[in-house]
Amino acid sequence: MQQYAVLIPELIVLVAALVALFADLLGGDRVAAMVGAAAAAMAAVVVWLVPVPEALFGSMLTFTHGTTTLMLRSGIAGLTSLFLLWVAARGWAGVRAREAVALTLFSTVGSMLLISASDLVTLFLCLELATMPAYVLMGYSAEDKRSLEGALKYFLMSVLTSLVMAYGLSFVFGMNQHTSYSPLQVAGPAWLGVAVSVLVLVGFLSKMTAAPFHYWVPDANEGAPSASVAFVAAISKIAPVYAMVRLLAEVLPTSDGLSRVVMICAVVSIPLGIFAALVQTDVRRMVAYSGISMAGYMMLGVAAATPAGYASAVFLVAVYAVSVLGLMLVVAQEGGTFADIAGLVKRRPVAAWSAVVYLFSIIGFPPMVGFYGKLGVLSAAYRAGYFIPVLIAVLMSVVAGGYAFAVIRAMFTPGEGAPEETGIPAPVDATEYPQAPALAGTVIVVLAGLSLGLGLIAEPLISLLQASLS
Amino acid sequence: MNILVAIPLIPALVFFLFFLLPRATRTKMLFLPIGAMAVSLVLSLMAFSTVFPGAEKLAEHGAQFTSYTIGVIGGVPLNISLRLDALAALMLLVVTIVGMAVQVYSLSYMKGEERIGWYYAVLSLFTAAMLTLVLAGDFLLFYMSWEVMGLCSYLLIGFWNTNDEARRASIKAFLTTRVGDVGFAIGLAYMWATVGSFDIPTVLGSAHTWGPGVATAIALLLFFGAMGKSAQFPLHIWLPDAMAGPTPASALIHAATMVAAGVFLVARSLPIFEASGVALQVVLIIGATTALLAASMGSVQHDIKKVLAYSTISQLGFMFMGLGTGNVSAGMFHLFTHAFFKSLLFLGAGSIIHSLHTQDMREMGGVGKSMKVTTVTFTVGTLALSGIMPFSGFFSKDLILDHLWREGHYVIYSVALASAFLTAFYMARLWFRVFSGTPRKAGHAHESDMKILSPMIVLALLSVLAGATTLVFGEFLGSETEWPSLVMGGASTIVALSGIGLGWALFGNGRDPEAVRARASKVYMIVTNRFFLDLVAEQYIAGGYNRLSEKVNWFDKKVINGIVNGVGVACRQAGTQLRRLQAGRVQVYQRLVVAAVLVLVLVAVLATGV
Repeated sequence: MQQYAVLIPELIVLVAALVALFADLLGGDRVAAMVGAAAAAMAAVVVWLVPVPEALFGSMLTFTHGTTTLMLRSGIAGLTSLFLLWVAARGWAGVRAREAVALTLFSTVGSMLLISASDLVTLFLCLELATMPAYVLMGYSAEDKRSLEGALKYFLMSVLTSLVMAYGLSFVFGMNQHTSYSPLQVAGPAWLGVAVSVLVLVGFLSKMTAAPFHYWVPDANEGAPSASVAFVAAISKIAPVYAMVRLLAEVLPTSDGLSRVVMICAVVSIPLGIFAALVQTDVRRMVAYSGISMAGYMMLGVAAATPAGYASAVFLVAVYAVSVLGLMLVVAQEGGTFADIAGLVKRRPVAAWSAVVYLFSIIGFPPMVGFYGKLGVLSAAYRAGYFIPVLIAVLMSVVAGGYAFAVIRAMFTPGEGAPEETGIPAPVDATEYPQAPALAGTVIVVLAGLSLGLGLIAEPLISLLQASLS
Repeated sequence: MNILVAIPLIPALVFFLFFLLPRATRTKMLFLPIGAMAVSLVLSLMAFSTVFPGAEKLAEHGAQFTSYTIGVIGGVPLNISLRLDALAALMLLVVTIVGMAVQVYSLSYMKGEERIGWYYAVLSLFTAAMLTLVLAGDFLLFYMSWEVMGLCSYLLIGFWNTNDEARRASIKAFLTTRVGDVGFAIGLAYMWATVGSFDIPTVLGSAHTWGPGVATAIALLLFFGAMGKSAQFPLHIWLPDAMAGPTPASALIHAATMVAAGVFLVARSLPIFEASGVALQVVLIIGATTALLAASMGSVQHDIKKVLAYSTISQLGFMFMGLGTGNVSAGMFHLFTHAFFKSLLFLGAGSIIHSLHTQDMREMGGVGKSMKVTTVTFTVGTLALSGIMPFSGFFSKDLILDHLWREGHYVIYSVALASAFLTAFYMARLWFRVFSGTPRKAGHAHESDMKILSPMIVLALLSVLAGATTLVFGEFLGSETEWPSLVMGGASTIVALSGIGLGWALFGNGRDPEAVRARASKVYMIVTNRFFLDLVAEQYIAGGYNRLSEKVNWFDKKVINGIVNGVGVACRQAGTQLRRLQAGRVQVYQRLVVAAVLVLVLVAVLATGV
């Protein structure tokens, strides 16, 4: 029995999700969010305390990667906790938060389990458990047609690519005759294995919002409540990328063909995301496009097909999540358009300066942590001999400065008719309890601190990831 | 704790303190940044005295350095270090002396400014960054402080952030220098790939083993960064606009120190340029082109600060010409003297602007009678810039001309001489317009207070005396330097005097051909043939020349600016086109996804081979 103790963190989050569903009986949104935040924080700590077995359920879940799996599970839970803490302070812009809290926690359970998934079945189930609540979250303001439309697009596109992936997984099962992770026994010509790999990857690339599977993202982001975007665009991306590199490292055969496909997606995603982000005047759409370009950078590391490349890809996505979460939380309390955030530095200097840190981290400006992430994938891709794609990526990251500065300029110039006299912005969300700006501010500052401080330990973190993936 | 660490650290601490303090408290604590500056100045003098004078003392005490490991990349430790050598010691003095002068001056000039605390904070941060750059013992720290300086420059140009022009200028400056920085960054990456180290002595020591191709590539990439920072053609477009910032900040950053960082970079990495050979030629040609173009553009400006801005660009071109001969002391000596007299000129211009509340020279006049101290000090600066014996500019400019001649770059030499002529001309034009004649639209000037005047007096003294250090300077930097020869000095003096003479002929005694032309009806022109000769001269000599200069100016504004701006527009256009693809219909999206899956599978299969 003792071996099941390793799942206590997931169980804590799951129980909290169920409790949150009954928030009406407990006292409402804030209680739900507080319970969720406390549970996630507890889970983040408990991960380190319980004994870790090699495998569970006949190797459907494995924990052989030691510290890495612990780190990622704890990190996901920790970020969720911060996010819910913010929700407790600010609410879920314009809608009831309690069910959303439950959905967030369900998705977090999925993400945490996905980290240790080592069977095709658990992989697929956990991936869907992590994303299903996300569809609902994106369409959460049900009176808003744009939100519903965006969520529907997200759902349809995601399901379509999941089907392609399931199709690919069925081939893997067919060739290996079992669903556990083990190197693919290609029965037949070599190209068959490559084709199967591409089909499987499509599902992941779509979850990572890589081009050309990105079409839904801007529309969905613009319509959805900003808090939902904060969760979906940031936290829910971490686990899939780790699952993907695990699958690549343990099951799918590496080959030039596969690397080439990933590289094509990367070279399309990076310029597309960055150019499109330049012309946006809404931070939510901008985040959508910057996410596309980030997926491109991540794939540079994946295409390198080396442990260093895989490790940097995971690291990049994880640290990107920290910064995007922070940026979207700022947006969630101020509004997404440039007009909304105009003169933010006057009204909320802390939020504005934190947003500067996030943006610099997102575009990869040293010494923010995003820089180390990008540096990792770029050097891995360079070592693998992809000179031209790396050159394109480097040049494009200079252009990326443009959209970050557009946002910064918007925040630092007084807007027309901005309520400067009162110093208090028009409320964008209608929560039923008094807001707690100090708590929300703390979350934002902590995230900014992480965006800065993780850079200091970037190197050991990446080498830890690398060790577990080689 | 080493003295070297303290020099940049003290101003940096002031910045962080000011950053945290509320505005009202900052305004009351302006003695802090000035005190910090004074401490840095004293420490710099102490540092200087440990390595001065000459080679034997350098060998004994020199190259003191402190090193820290900040990270590990791919198993290789990444060190940053501070190192004191002759070049660094000299630059320390320049930065702290001019910095001190500007900070004292700003007390009065920026008085009553609401955000004066922030102004001083940024000045301190800038000083810290520049001192770090000067002391940097490795290219990584060099690059980091280089970028911080760019940020400070951006913040100071846009200091009056309610002014739309200033805001645009600050963004333009930031983006244009960033273009150069991309080159610099790629150059550093290439350097790391080649040597596996950023340590300056290690890198420079191995430069001759890289082979000419690699050395040329790295040298040119570094030079591209220098071109952005030092406003060399065609990346010079940001500097004239940068004059929208406060004048004392312009004096420190956009005249004396920061813009010279590009020159310093090339001087630091000169062995790489020498290993390449070709790169030195490029430096020469770019420097010469810039010197001539900027000098001619400076002669048609009406804004007193713009004249000085173009003059700075032109003089930086001179410094690059000096370095292009492969001689460190030729370029660096001009940097040294220029820092003093150009900041003096800027501070003088600031004093006049402060008093008259205009920057347009057409509205000034007769300042000489009412602002005695400003006039004397400004005149010293003017003569130094024009290259008149015995002011310092004469010696440093002559050293450059001398080296150009001796190395056999005769074409470049004549370009440099022409630029020197134009320099003397536009400075004379400025001087006569502002100081002689009678007061015009802007009215009577009144002398500024001592906080403004005393830094100018100190800088004026330095502008006179710095020339005397010619031999010591050369010896200190370890290269042969002689007094200007009679022929060379004579030639440049004649050129400078004739430039001033042309300026006097056109603008002396309150004459102003440009203003006269605007006012005079044909009858008036014929009747008052006292002006007739002047007008002929203006029409045929200066007029033709003015038209040419205006053409150059137009070319600069439309074509060069257009190309640089065009890149940005193209990026935005690409974005707009991409947005079209995003039509919003989910059926279309799904079709695109399925098509993409098929294409990707096909690519993978074909790449593997069927």
